[in-house]
Amino acid sequence: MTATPETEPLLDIQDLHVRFPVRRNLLGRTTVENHAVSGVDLALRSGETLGLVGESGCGKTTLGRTIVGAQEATSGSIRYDGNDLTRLKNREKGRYRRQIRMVFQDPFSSLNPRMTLRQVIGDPLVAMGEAKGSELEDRVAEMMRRVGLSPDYMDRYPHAFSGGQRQRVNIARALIVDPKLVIADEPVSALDVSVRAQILNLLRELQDEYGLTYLFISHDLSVVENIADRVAVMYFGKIVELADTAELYEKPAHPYTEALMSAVPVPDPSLRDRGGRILLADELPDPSNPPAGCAFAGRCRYAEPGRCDTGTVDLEGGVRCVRSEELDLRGIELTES
Amino acid sequence: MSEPLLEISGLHTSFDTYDGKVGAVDGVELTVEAGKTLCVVGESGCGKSVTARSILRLVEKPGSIDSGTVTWHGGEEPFDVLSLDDKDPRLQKLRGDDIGMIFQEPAASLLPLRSIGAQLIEALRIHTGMDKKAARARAVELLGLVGIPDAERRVDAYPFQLSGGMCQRAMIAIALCAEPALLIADEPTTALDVTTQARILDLIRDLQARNHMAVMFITHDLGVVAEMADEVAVMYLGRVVERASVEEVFADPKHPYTKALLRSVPVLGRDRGRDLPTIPGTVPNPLHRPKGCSFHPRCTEAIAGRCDLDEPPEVVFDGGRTAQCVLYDDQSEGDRA
Repeated sequence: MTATPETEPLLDIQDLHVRFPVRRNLLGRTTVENHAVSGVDLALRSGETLGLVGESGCGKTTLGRTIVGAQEATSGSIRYDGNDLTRLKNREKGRYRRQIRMVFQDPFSSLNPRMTLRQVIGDPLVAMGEAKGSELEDRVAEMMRRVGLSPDYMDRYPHAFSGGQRQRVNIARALIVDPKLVIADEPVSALDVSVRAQILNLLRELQDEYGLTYLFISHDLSVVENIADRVAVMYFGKIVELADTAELYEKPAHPYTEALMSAVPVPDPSLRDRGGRILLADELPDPSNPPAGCAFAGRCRYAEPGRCDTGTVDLEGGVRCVRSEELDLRGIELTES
Repeated sequence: MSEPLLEISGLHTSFDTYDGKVGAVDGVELTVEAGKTLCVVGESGCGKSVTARSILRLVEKPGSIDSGTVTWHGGEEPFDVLSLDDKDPRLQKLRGDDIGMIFQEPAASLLPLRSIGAQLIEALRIHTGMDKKAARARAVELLGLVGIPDAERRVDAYPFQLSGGMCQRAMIAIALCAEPALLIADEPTTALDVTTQARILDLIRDLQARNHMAVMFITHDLGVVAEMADEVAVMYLGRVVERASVEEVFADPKHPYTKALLRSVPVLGRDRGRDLPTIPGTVPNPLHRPKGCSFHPRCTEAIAGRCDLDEPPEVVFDGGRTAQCVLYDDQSEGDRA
């Protein structure tokens, strides 16, 4: 269901920067800043699922939060439907708030414990003045059925539900205003393994039914491979590789992607001693003082002094690495189901 | 089979709640062999962590260990840990000397206001009787051994100054400082990135090979199980439903729960873009344990009139592997003890 590249992207992020002040001087001027997102270019095609992977601290959550407007951008643009979301006035933002929705990781802390499911799920409709009374109830009931919850539970509180059911509530709350784009930030990471598959399948089903576009943020490469059409790998605030899922997993072009993939434990004891795992030093660069050249160079086993640690490295042909052409990187092997 | 180091038999641990008594561990039988790795797999609420804590009698109120035995074979004479007096020196020796333990959240298990060095030195002095100077030298050595770069300087760092992976390594150093015969690791890598996880797993394997240490590794990640285990115990709702060697579990799972779990987890290179087989429903609340086999409401192979009424038999197969399931009741009749 991947859209063709020629079509207008649904969301177009250009040179986006998000910086957090760490320290200010006496006059209140920022003297040290952390660069959470530093120059992201990313376009989402209508109807696709774009996976966004990377280690904790790489800026993937900040990127997601900036798209939904929960975090202010320092510079750059996020174009959606002809408008730059970073420049909208508060009044205008409301229109987009219903089109771009977010599903959070932790189903336990993201639901107000004092609201019934009716209130939690119906709240966005009430807040936008879209429905009330029996219409509200009908729409909440319909949405609950769609995500696999019985409307009989409408007047119960979140504590009575398991993690998987709560995540269904979160999804219902996100989808009730009929959005186009859903930012799902680690939506299955906090769930039990036996219910992850249910939620992944549900997300796929809902995508087909409502024509949704997903930005699926996760650190779990197996989950992303299962659900994404394309995958963006983020490192230290930048996209370092972007490709179709099959290509990225089988023929990674960035050494960081290769290392990430090799670190995933494979559930097959016969492959245990196959070797080939690339161990990365866990020293990340200082986010308040990004290094010159490639941010990954310090951990990269292919890094060449004088080439990788100077100047800037651009994202070319979907990969941000000066040596990618000359490297023969190893991807995953396909196995029979 | 080599000699057992730790034998758990008929363990029952429960928690008193306002809604009634919850049987978190409901008759667990497990054996850890000297120098081997036992992986305990299961979802949240299956009782795997409570089992681990029961071994060291670290179950706090409102929890209580109701019955069963935990036999430690690591001393001169085997003894039952659960029947020791609270002040028995053997219990003190067991905690930290004979058995080291690491937990999922390193940041939550380290004291925030003391440097990691101070915490490690304290453990060394208690367990090995070293003087301050020798303990400090050993602390630096241990931190280097667990892969903390620049240990000389990092020994005085506070937990908040270190990343999650670094804190977890400091925890491992503390757990290993007395060279225990058994390391209990409760989801030690769940909160970490895959790249860090790979290094921690390698580290545990290295140390195990060097010291002939046994490991009880608790996880819900089947990939980690395949990488680490010699033996596997699958837990569901407070019971061990299947126990076998790691090769047997992955090549030929017997219990329907194990089979379903292995199918429903996305695997790199196997499940791209396809709907995943799911396990219906969710893990039941242990307060309302289903009658008969606890798994029968979610089991696709359940036999009406049997699985929902009778407790499943413990079936012992050739070679010693076991499964609690009626499906194998007849064929192994001859093998049963």
